[in-house]
Amino acid sequence: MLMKEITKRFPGVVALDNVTFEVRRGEIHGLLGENGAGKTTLMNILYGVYRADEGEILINGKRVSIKSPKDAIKLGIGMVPQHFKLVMAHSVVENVILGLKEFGLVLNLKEASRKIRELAERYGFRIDPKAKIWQLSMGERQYVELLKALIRNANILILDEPTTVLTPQETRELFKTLKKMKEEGRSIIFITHKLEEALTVCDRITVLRRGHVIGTVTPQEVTEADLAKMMVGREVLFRIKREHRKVIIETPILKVENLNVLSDKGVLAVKNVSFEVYPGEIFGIAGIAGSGQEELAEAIAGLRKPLRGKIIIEGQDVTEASPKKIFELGVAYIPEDRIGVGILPNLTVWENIVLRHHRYPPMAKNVFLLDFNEIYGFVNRRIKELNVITSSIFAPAKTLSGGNIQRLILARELAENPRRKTKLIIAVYPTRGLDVGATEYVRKVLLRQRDKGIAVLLISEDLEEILMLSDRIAVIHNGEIMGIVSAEEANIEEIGLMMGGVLKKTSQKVKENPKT
Amino acid sequence: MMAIRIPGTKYAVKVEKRLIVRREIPAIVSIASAIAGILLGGLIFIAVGISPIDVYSRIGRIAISPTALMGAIEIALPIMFTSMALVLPFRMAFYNIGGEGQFEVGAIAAMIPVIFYWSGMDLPQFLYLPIMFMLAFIAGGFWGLLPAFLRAKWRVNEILVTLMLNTISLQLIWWLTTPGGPWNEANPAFKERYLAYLKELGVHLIPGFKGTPVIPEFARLPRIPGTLVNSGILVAIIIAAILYFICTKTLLGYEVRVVGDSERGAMYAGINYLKLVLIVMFISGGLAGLGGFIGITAFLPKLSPEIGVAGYGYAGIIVAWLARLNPIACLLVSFFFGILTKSADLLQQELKISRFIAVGFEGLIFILLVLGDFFVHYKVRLIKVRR
Amino acid sequence: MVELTMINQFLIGALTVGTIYLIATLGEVLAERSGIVNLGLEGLMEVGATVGIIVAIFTENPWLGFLTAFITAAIISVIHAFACITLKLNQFASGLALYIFGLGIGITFRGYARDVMLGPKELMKIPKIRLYPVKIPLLGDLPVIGALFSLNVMAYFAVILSIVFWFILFRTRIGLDIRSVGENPAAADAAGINVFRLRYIAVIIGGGMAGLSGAYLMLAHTPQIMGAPIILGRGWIAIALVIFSFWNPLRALLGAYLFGGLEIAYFWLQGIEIFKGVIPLLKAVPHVSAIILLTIMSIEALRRRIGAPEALGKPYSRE
Repeated sequence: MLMKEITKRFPGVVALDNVTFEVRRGEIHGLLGENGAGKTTLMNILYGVYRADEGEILINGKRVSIKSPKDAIKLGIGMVPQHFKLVMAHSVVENVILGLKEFGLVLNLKEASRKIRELAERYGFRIDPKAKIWQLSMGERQYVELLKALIRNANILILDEPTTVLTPQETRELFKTLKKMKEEGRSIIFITHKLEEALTVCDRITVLRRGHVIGTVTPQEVTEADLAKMMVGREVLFRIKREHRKVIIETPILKVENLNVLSDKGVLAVKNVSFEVYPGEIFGIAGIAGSGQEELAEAIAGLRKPLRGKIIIEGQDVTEASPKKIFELGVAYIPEDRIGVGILPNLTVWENIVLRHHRYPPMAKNVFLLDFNEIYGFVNRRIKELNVITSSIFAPAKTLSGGNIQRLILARELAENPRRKTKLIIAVYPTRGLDVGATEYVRKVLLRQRDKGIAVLLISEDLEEILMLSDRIAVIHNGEIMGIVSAEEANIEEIGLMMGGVLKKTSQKVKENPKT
Repeated sequence: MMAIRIPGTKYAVKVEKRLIVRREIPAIVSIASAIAGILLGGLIFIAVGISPIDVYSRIGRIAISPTALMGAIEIALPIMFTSMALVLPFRMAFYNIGGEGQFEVGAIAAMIPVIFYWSGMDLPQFLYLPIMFMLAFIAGGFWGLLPAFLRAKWRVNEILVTLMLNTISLQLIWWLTTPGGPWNEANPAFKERYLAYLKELGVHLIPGFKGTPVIPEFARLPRIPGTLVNSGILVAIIIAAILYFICTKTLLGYEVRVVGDSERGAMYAGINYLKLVLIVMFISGGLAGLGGFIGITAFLPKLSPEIGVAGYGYAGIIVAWLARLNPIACLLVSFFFGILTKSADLLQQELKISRFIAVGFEGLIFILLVLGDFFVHYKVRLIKVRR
Repeated sequence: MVELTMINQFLIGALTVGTIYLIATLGEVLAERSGIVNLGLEGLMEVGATVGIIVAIFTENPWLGFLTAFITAAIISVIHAFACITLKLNQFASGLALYIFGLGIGITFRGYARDVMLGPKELMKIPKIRLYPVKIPLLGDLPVIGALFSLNVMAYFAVILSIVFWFILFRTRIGLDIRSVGENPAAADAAGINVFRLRYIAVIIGGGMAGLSGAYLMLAHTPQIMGAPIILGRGWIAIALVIFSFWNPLRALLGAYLFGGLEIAYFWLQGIEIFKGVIPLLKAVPHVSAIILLTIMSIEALRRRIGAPEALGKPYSRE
């Protein structure tokens, strides 16, 4: 398979500039690059989601035209996208056979289920064809996506950041499966931004940066540092060197006791979770996305009513409190869903920054009137402090870049007013999808706030980020806290086992308060 | 974003998403779709064998004749209220299709003091109009609260609930005004006073008539002294100004915008949806109710099922949309609709076409307006393509 | 025996009227399963009523009336499909526009037909083209359940249709495609399904069914040709019934006949002495019931966490 001189432009940007990319039969080819380097765009062109403005695609030496995913499937190309394309309300078998003709007009689901079991067995995993997708874990959902490609006899398999949703152990299982597929002569394109993974599993690695191919190498000829340099374009420091703080165990800012929370589907997403967060620490929660951490954060922010248990902020029971009340207590919430929850996309920058502060003086003159002089002054000060880059405070928020949208959210959430001092920051996947510069900025802001004595609850699926920033780390698996460790004694292997639910550490180093 | 080659030429139509919509674009699209609707509507006339040129010239004559213009204002006045009523709920993406019902219960409530009057119970005369005004607002407001509550509490579809309530309120009017009904003008309770009043005027009761007794002169909205225009227009202008102020300068207007853009975002921001939607729908229903008050006190002047047939509430939806939820624009667009509807009434008399042709026209304009929204969100250009 | 005939009569009436709701509801179930709400039902039914009766009179053939009503409403629905699917505009606005447009032209042309096109000679034909109940021998004579076998042909057809719709939606490949498109169009697209084409088909057939329902109202229930509304909110109840049926064609049967019964109950109740004073209010019974049922269903949907197709009301765009 060869993609030759591909160029793709989006309004305002050249996403891919003259990219040539080749994959051989029976190899695992890594496609490495930062967010926004063009990896996904390139693969979407191969899969027919986008069409290239220039360039051509050759398969087995023959020029092909791929106008839609349908054409791609016919040519034996399969894709496991980063954001799964599954119908949550339908069963595994319904998802796998979607779009296939071989099971008849009147569907023969029995036959299809048999075939799915057979395929799963062949590649060494298990799955219940009758289960509904929403009941499955993220790792299992990925196998459903894989099955979709396999049942269509995909010879070229694209996997877009497949390990993001997996524990280190699950990742190793996946790699075994991939190697089996390779041995059968299938080609695998493995998209990632994790250097170590690329070096372990790939036969060759192509590095993309800002829409250009920087080079294609084999794992034998490069080191991690070389790859990183190719990816970012400059020397990268691997670890932000920093002191882990000794957490002063005194009165906690946030105390969660035996918390149980239901998900949207009515499943118990958070199970008997207890922990405490102290002033001046970053308390990280590690875990695969979808292990209940979103529901946990929403419950603390007052957006989701807990089923059982208690949430206490500075001694006040806020289990039943409204988001407004919790905001007033000084909790800043950086939500997972930036557009739609974090910002109001069609409203202007000023309307977004004053949000949540708008009902307090001096922004509001009384319960009825807003004071625009105060508001514009406030907004301009916040924009300056957090370096939000926007053409005007009257521009719709959706016109901002991802990094700037996150800065806008920080500008709002960290703002104080006479009635409110920030005491706790809940940051849910705060750097997801951001480029290197923006990621670094967000992390620095969090560290700076911690140094000011503010408690930070950091939820991230990026283990590296958790290890880099946190003073203490809790690991969540399937809604349960598997253990809490301090940053010094943290061991990536052990955390991985806890993320996968294999290991549970019951001895917590946190002083229990017998009174509660 | 997307370019479609026009076959056989060197040009292509290029469609691009607008990131920032300039202010004048929605207004231009509104006006263009109204004009296009009227022109395309000519096809309806051709279909029923009438020359559209003839129709347009008649409409043109109506638009400049003072008496017909008065008639147009008469129709426009209630629509001004039913359209302005939708400004706030539509801005918060609460689809209140119940303007019609809220209008009707407003009219019913406004009649209450009048019914008491004819039954022999008096109030000081100067109190009638203010009391009727308030009753209409409150009744309409309460009629609007039910769908708001159901939606906020259990996510019951507000479009369907408001529509059902429309039918219910119309049946209520039928029941009240039908011969033998409690408010029918032939009800013995009104006998003494009302018959004497009619005798004075030299008219008789028509047996089997569906309607209440007429509203006495002192409880009718007067004309603006020295003009032929009803003073209801002043109320409409004041309300438009207040609404405009609410939308742009107040906490309420701001929170309405927030909810309209993202309900989840609003919840996260700590905005109490239930409270907000109840306030907004009380105002909305109240304003539509005021439309009912104006409708019966300024013109008819009585309550009968006629006011439901006119479809003021439904017209308000299209007017609000055409006016882009700007209360001041609502006034102007309502007037345009008044002319349209008045023309249809006259056409019904002169050319024997159903007055529902006006509804067809309104629908056509609405469809074009909806389609025209595409041009609000996208920029369409003709470009030259490279070989 | 008198009692039994009355129950029989009532059931026949309920099932006959319920069929109006059933046909329209089935169409809307199909459209909504594909992800598109069509609020224009009421207007399309007015158009269908007009076209159906006029064509039936002139051709002296009710079946041609049904066919043309279906086709006309389907064609008008193309506007809605184009607005919602291709231009990705607001489905509520587009549906409301369609409703008002359909209401206006449906009634205008009906009035025009009565005043200009149809003389007494044509009007005399109405009894000839009406659909009458067909009693199936023996079964039709059974007490009470005999009503099930004493219906008009379209009523039977509608029952078959709902079974067919159910089978297609839940047992066939096309049904899986439609449901997937309504739940997650991006997933369907990735699987090589033409989302746009399927949605067009669903909206057009769904709209056509509304036209069919309007024609049925005219030809099987109340053949009145006049320049005034005749659907009287039934289209909106049909939309409510979609929610009541949880988007399932078989459950739609239940809701449709329930409302057929509520509507027909009016004729029975108005004869009863205690209701004499409030006859017009009896007409509002189906609408009050609809609000109550909608509320119960919504609470139920929240509790059981089932609901509308995930992508309902959301336009799909690849980028």
